[in-house]
Amino acid sequence: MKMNVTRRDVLKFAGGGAVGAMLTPAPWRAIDDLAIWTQNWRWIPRPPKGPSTMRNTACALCPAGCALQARCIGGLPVSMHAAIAASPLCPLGLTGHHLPYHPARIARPQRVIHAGGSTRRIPVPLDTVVIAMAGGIAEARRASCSVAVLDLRPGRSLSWAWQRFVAAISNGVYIPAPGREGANLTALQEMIGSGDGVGLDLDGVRTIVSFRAPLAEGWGHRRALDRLQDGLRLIQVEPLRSRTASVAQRWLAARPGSEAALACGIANVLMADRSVPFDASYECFTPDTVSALTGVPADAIVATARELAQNGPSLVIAGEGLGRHAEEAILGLNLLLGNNALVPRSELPAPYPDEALIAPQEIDRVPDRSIAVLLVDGSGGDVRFPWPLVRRKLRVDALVVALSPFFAGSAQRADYVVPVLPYLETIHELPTPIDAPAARLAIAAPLLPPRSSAVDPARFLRDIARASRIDIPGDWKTSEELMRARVAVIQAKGEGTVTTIADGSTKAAADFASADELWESLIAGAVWDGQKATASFARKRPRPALPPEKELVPLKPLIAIAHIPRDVTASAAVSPVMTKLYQESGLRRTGHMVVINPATAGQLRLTSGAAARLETAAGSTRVVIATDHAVMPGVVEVSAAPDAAALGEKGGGEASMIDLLVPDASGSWQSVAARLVEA
Amino acid sequence: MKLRGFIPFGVGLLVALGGGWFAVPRAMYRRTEQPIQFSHKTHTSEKVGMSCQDCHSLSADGKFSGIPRLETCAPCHTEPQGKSAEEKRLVDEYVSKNREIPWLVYARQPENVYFSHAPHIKLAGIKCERCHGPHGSTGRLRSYEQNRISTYARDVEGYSLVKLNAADWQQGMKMNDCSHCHQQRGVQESCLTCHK
Repeated sequence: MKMNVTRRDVLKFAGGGAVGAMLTPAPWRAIDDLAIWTQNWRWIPRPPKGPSTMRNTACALCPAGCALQARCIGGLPVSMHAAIAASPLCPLGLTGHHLPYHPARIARPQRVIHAGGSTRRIPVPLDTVVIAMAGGIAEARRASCSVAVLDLRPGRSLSWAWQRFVAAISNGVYIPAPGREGANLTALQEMIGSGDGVGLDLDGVRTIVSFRAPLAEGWGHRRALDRLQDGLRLIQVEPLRSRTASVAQRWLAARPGSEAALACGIANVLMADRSVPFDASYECFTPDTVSALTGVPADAIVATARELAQNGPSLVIAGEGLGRHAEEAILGLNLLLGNNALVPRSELPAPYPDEALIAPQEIDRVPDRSIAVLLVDGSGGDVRFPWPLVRRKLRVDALVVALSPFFAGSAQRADYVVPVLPYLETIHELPTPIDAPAARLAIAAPLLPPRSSAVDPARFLRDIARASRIDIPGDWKTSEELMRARVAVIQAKGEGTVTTIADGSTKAAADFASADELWESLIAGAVWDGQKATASFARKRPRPALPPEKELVPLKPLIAIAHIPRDVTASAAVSPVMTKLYQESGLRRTGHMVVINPATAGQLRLTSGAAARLETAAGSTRVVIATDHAVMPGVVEVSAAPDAAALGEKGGGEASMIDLLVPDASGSWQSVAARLVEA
Repeated sequence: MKLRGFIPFGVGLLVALGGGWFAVPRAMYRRTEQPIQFSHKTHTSEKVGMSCQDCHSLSADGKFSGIPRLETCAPCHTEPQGKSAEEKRLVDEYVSKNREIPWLVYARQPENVYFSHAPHIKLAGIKCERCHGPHGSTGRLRSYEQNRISTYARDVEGYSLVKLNAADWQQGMKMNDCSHCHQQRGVQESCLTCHK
């Protein structure tokens, strides 16, 4: 029988084949295999195979400088572990080895064009940036405007070089980062009238009253956290039950902005109990009056004051950004108590002896619209603060240049961004943390080969100085040479001890035969501690400054406060693993979520998950409401989240929440009057 | 004649079914022979008397030496012990030249997987055969089969496409297989357990 194969038969055959194929595992398996194939393309970087080794170093992502051990395979770090079991690493530290591969990493210098709420980046040669800087400096000199360096990680050898650089310019200003730890100790320093720095010696302290200092959230070198396990009593004054408030023995939920009044109320009780000399000017701060102002029960104020007096030695600590008057009133309590925990502290020596250094100037003391050229040095890490604090100091046509490994954080505000090496690709210096009683130096060693296109900030500084005809002493050319010069000064002085974290052994600095030997020890993970001062400021008893009258007027109905966890803000970019985890788990707030008490939400007729607009004097932004009893009524918690742009999300457009927290007249950006309205 | 209209469709269906179930799975894998035909049976026989742990040991710190290095073979094989051509090749091409044997690892996990033998053997008490099959009693080594697209070994991907009538070790060692076993045993798991 003859069979003609028609076109219809072919189509039927194909149809049967298609149906049959669907009934076999082959197409589904092919999809799976193809998906795996895309993960194995040759150009995708692979960690090398090799022996597993452990290397001791220090984490340079925040000022704590935690000792860590990096597990390396084939010489490259693959996981981070705390070198001291009792001091576990924070999420940022645990994932620090991801950062050199971060997608926001910058490969080449870039010109950033800000227009219409968006930014455009154009690669430029480094010389273009140097020429622009030199031109800006020349113009600023002619116009008698300021040239400023904003150092996001002060205290490094490179910080000395920047200070020396701006000292050589007639209107040069060196500005340490606002919001950094220890910024408020300058208020105390001025009250004491001491030329020395102020150190905190927590070793003998039995009670700490902390006004919004995040002691259990990576504050200083985490000494307070260690002491908490040894029986230290902690009283936390904070408008929200933070992690620190959760581990404290007592949480005093005080209204934001009323901290100075509470400090004066504590002083009033101390005087009434005759624990400290009487001062009539405190008479009006009775527990009942202060209770009405702060929201803290009168008996809690009395109990706190008595615990300070009876369970001494005690220490009063202020968090950052509370405002000058509050800081003076809070930290001044230490002087009233005759506190032995406040000790004079010599700072780390300059790499080169030099008398021509310029004194650091806090940002709030810089005249508005005075800066024509601003260099933001983010090579040592980042600090999150409201950018309007800086912006209002800039002239309209100011040139802003940022040094940063990532296009994230402060670097996004710049006109030019210069790529520097991130943590683990270069040597980082870890200067004295706030809770060290003596000067301290640790060095984080590089564990990865550097990316050749990055710029050494010291070399960049030299280039600008040369182009601007500014002479800076010393024959250093790189950051490492600057650090080595500082280590040589330490070795020559022969003071202090060097502790090897790996085995806990100590050796006197004087026992190191050469500066190179000391350097090798530090680079292998050891820490140098200077000599502790024997005297304290205990005998100095100036009375704490009283808050001005305006701080005693009834408080605003709704106050926005900043919550800036260091483990997501100390680096401009956070590991994508963590940001993904934060987004999906709610372990950290997202960039546009605010938290209020359910009672406040009820008053404002807002519900959890609702969209709203957060308004302050600086502007407004769209937010999502979350409700939590951990936030006291009348308060809006505004958290700094991992940088949205560094997450690969669309940046620009809506204002960042932290940027809405512009300081009020007393200079406090931690407590800002706000409004929440339904969106 | 109505039935005649279904013939092309039926033929197409059968061809695809045959191809999808039999031809494609065979064609999907590239087969490579191991560099030396090693006999586990000979080494674990009464005459030689070796145990699995002599070559595949778990050290006190939890490190597992999966594939023995040449230094494990060399002490006994500086000279041929028997008349086997494979042993002669071992001595001539590797031991005398001090060259590592480029074994093809059946159970090699991809780069993004961290696997430790220690908790599986010590804590869970799982036998080697559960994942690696009755390897220790074989007289010759199987061909190494590698997926042409994904490049994974067949032991990892599994021998049975639908996982029916397959021994435990033939089910594969992909994420679903690990996860399935963990769930059966009530073992908690998170992404970071295996993907560091």
